[in-house]
Amino acid sequence: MTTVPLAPFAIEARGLEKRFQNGVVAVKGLDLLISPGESVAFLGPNGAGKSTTIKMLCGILRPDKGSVKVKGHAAGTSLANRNLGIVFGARSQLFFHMSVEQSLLLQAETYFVPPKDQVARMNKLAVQFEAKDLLKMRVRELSLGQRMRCELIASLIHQPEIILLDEPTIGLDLQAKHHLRERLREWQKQFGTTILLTSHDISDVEVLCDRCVLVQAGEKAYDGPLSQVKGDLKDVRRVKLLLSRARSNFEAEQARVVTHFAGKMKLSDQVLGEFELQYEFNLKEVALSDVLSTIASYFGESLEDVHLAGVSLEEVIRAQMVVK
Amino acid sequence: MRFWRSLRLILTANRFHFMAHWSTPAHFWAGVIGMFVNNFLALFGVWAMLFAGKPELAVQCDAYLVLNLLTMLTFGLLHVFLGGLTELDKQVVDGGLDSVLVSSRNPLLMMSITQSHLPSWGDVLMGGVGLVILGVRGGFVFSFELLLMVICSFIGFACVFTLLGCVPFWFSRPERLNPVLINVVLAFNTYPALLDYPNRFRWFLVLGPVAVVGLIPTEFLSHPSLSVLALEVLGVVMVVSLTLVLFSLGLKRYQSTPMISLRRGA
Amino acid sequence: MSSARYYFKLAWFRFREPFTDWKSTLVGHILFVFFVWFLSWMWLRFSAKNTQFTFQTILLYVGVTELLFLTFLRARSIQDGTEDFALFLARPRSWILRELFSHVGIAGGARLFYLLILVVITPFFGIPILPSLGFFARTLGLIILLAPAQALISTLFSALLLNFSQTRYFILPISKIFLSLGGVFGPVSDFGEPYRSIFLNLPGSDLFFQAAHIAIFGHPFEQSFAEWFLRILVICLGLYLCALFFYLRGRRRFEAWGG
Repeated sequence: MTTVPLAPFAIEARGLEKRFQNGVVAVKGLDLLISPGESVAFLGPNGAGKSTTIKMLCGILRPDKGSVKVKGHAAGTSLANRNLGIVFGARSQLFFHMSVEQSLLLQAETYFVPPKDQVARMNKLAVQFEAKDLLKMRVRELSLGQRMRCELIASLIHQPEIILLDEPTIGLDLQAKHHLRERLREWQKQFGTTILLTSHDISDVEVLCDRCVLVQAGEKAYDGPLSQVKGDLKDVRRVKLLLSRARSNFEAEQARVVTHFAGKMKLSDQVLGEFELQYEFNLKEVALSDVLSTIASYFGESLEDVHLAGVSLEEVIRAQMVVK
Repeated sequence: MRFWRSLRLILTANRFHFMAHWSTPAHFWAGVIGMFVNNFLALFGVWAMLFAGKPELAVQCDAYLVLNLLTMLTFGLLHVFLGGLTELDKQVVDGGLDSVLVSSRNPLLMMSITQSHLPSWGDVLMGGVGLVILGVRGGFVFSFELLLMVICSFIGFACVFTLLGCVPFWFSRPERLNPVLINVVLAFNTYPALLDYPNRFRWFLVLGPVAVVGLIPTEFLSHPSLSVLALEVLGVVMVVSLTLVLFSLGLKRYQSTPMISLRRGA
Repeated sequence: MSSARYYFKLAWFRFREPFTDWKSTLVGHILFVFFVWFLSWMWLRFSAKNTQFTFQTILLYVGVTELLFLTFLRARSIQDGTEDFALFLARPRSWILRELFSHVGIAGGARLFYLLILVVITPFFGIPILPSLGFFARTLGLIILLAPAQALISTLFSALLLNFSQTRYFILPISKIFLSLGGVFGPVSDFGEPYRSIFLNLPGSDLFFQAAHIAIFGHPFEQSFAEWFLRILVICLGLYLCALFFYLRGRRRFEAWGG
């Protein structure tokens, strides 16, 4: 399924292909069209071609075939890169031996921010990202979370129209991740910035993105709204039961539940605890109230707790990412 | 306009690099003094070995001094103000070129400002002070010639290091070869082996970019002539052109490295 | 006994390293060939009238001194030793012994590699191999004999680096002292006075000039073998005591920052 973004595009990549010198074809005929203001998750397993595509978008690599434009300019040119802000989770754009303030001002100078605006923008961003206290510190003295905040400021100081985020939350603790996502979300709402995110943390995707592009073996596998990634799996439910005695004591009851719903309800094959039991069913085929009342009637007082959940986004994407 | 903006970027970067170095005075002075002592000992050692007590070699001795001071100064200036160029080969291999390529500036310009080597202030000081003394003693015309050769030598050195930095675009493991090549360049431009050697044009053909760094400028300063000046200028132009072409070709072959890699400290 | 086995194994492991990827090592060692030829040529160009050495003997001389010097005080191996200091403290082994045996192995392997290159290139400069066998055998013996001195000075610098991070800026100039004053470029015996007398009495001369003189002529210059060997022992003792002092000081004051 594909979405049709509207021209003029923030990012326009058509027929991208990249073959490395060792013969590996990392990207094959990839099209990627992103409208201004969109937030797109760019996902795929390791080796799918995500990083290669990102590198072609920002001019690090030259495509062997196809074309890529950023705000109408050929990727990799000065005019194209002026519109880009980039955060690499695993690589720093800051200068380790300088103070944060010096690194940021140098970044501003690099991106042609007018000298009279450089300090004001830096201070404003520092307040927004709660990094005011970090400005005088040396970059090498920062913790990982602090450094990522400063990396983000560095990528936003020239108010780019597009931000490329490559694993921005890698190695961060839960609080730091939450903080980073919130700030990015606020920034995006304030400036209507286009976001392209690659991340192995699905929570990043769920918080920041509305659209998802899945890549596999260099080709696009899915391109559409995040809400529709689950597809048919969106109606699947799993009901987990916590029992007073070991599962093995209830084999007859387990089979009766399955028989009652004529095969529309099945036992899950997930690994569970000794006192746990899980069934899987589809809301379109079986009513929730029937499920709960049947379980209650068969397990009676042995039932200590019930937990109901849908299929997680992570699971869906993981299933799509089966490496060929 | 673009030139002034580039110059401002270089000046801003170097101002911050210097402030960072200066903020740890113990390291700063240790680095500067260490390099000063290193250069002095190297100069003295060869002088004691080859020229001490040999008045018949006075001319060669003077040329040796000029060669070394010139090389010291331009090497130092390059490592201090455009230090990133001297690390180009490592950045190509390690994927450090990525952050340079994503910026909105010329990649060579961005590369050059990523680093400033603290100990090379010792080279700048020793070479600079030495050449200023020679310039004052030599008079106005000599000082002008000296300045001209410092500029040519500096450009030549920058190009030599950039050319060496381009080696990894074609050879995947330059970490063994590049230090060898750098040492060869420095040997030709610090030891007096080729000074006053007949047929200077032959060195240029054989040594190419290496000769424009120190040998031909020293020859010009020792025996100024239009032909030597023309040779130096022509050499610099050719070296610059070759560098820009090779770098541009090399970028097309650049493959970066996997994005997720171990973080590197300072 | 098992400790001795561990350290010797470590030294052997480091010794073998250049030979495991010999093609790559060979590329890096081309500099040796270049310097042997270049410095010999330069010496003869400026000092031919004042030297008793011929082109062949000066080539052998520079071959030995460069072989010893190019493996002397290598900043990289000195810094490598201190980078995992914090981790090493958690291991049941002595860091200083580890450093010592590592440097013996590293220098030994590299020097042997250089010697093999020297054996290969000397015929191309008109030096026949068979008559030079004595020279090569003596050089090999010197590599073994001087290994502790080289390892101790490198270990001393590793220990200094633990105490003072600024030490890294002094590795190069200290090595230059040995380069300039130790006769690496050319025989100290051919220097003019007063430098000749001064340099002959310095430790650098013992480690480089005298060693090369022994390799070529079979005896040291203006002193007996016993005298030279005693001087080397005194140098080693001094280095060992200094290295131990700075290691213990560094160990006491060590602070590991960060996670």
